[in-house]
Amino acid sequence: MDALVEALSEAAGSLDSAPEQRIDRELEREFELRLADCSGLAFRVALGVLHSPADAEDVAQEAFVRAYRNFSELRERERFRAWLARTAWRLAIDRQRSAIRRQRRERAAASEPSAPSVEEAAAEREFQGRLAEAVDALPDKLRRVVILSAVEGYDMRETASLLGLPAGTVRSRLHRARKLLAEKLR
Amino acid sequence: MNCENYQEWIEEAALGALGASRHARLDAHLAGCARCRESLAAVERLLREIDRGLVASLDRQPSTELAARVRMRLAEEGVRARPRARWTVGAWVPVSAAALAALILTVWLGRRSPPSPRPGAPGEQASATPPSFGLTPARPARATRKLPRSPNHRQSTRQPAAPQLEVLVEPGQWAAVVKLYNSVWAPEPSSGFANASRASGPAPGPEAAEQAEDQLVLKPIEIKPLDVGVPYPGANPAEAGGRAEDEQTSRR
Repeated sequence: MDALVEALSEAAGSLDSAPEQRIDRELEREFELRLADCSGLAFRVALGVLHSPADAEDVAQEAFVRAYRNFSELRERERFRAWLARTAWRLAIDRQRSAIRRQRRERAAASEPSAPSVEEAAAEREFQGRLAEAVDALPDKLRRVVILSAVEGYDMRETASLLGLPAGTVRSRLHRARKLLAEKLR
Repeated sequence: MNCENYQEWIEEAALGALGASRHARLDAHLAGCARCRESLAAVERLLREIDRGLVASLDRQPSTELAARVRMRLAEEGVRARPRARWTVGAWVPVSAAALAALILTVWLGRRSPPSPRPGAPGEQASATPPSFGLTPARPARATRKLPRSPNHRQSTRQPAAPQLEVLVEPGQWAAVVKLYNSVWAPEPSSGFANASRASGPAPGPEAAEQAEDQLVLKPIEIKPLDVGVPYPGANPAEAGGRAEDEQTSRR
């Protein structure tokens, strides 16, 4: 009797496991596609905040791990991109607040090799430094719009999709942000 | 207006946010003021530098190792793309009636000790009430009928336990589930479960529909609310009564 019941239970279990394994493989395959498609996005969002490629990669890695845990709800491409950009942003902001990471960034920036023309490179680095400070000093809402707009090449539709905001709101915030940056860098 | 007043308009114009009427007035001023034209050009140059600088600062690609690092981290942590749900609504739907009956029997048999054997009296007539061992049909008919007891049915000396499980059994499968239960208590080579489809079934006739209920049909079941005669909140009581009438009609 026990053997009979056990055989029936195993048969019932086998009916359920095969579809579940197929779903898992399908999810993993889709995640690999997203990883290839969106790794640059997560990296550049983090880079815009942290200004350090090494730190930006760490943040991008963490963002993807978290995305994988929630991937069953993020399978649609636009939804995944927006979620990933928001998560990479939050993680980068958290990391920026750490004084230790800031010191490492300064050391990494000092060790970068010089451009062929020393004066032009110095001027460019100086401008980039001031620009980065000015962007960091923006209010969070404006800063996010500026960085994501730059990541998306100032494509308003894509930026609005990533932020989950209307295009008009994005345009208005970008306008205010650029005005503040121009005043600061004049 | 002097040049100081036009400065704000110059910035707005460079940002592309100056209204049409003001833009016209600014253009008229710029036509005669070289200093303001130079100021507008400087603001436009600065904004272009800002845009270029932002794009340039982010114009980098992650290393080729990023994807590998993500995979390695996921493998180390054993992260799953979705939580593994053993029993979900989606998992219930394709479960066959046989597997469902086995599950219910497993749970029920674990709660009761085997009853003492007593051969059943031959020629017992079918009674109208269903057996009281915890299984109830999904849709109890208005006129209840007793199912025939197996000759090997063992009468329990204990009082039958109050039904603790409700299982949804396809109409017409009730006899097959009961037969399965009886065959578990006294498995014989000719037990119903071992011969789910009769090798030598009866010739098709008036009794074919009745005897077909003995055969266990393996097909997906549909989870439906139990019809206990009491309408659910918001349900149409007339519809509940109509379903029972349809059942009676189909049994004739």
